[in-house]
Amino acid sequence: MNPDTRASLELVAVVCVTSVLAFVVGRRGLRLPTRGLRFAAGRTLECVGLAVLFYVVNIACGVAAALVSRAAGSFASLYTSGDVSLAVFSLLQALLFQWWRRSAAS
Amino acid sequence: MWDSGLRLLGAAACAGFALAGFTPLGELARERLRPAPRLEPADAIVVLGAAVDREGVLDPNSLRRAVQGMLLYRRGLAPVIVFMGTAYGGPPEAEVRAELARRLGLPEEVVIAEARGRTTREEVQLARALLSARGGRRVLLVTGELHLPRAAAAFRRAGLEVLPAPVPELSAARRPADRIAVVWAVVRESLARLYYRLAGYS
Repeated sequence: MNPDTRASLELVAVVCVTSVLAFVVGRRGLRLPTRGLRFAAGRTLECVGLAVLFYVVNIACGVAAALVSRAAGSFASLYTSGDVSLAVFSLLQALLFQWWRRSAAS
Repeated sequence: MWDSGLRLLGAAACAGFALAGFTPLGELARERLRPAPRLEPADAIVVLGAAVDREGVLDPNSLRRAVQGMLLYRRGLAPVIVFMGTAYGGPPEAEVRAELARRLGLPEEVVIAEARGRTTREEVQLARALLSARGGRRVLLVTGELHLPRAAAAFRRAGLEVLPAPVPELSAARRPADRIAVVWAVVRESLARLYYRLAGYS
């Protein structure tokens, strides 16, 4: 097998094993209902979707700010908006916003 | 409605992550965008900027481009080599590269440093002015392989003839993180091309 493919499969295998362990802990240790997994998956997808939304808006705002700054005669790089930290910030924003919504709903 | 829309977007993002990280999608896109080199005699070798830190240490991509430019000069493909690249709180990238070229034995008189260009567009304008003053218009353009098509289009728009000398800048996509980096670079450069077209720069 190609070593690169093998490395990728190893990563996936590790995630599968820890996911199964988490499932066992949830079912036997915490006595969580299996049907709750579907609900959790839906909420996770919502959170990921919201993170994507925040990410796009953050990039758009960053680019717009850089262009306005350039138009005003002060140079700003467009590449700053592509920094990986923006993705992490967007995820945190999404988590915070989702929990805020949930707290209002409960 | 809002929640189902978010779920759909989240599912699309997860699918995109899987495609980008665990399939050769990025490599295929990169192959498609990569221009073929045309290494022929020119009036000048123009090496576009990448980045340099405050201590004057060149970014790996900057160094790769500079080395490629020097190798083309050594092959006798042009009488001068123009290094671009502005300053980021320290010495200008162009000066650092020019100094490196001199230390590696390139004659003082053939090395030109132009450090005022902060964007590809500004570099095009400065290169055109430099070449016009020397009566030249044919350039061997050295930059990253993904950046080259946009830069070349801007140079052509400025009336210069471009011979592409692409420099591979992303390592071979071996791990999921590498593959995602390639996809991200392709997406970013595609958006930059769109911006240059809409703005009339290329």
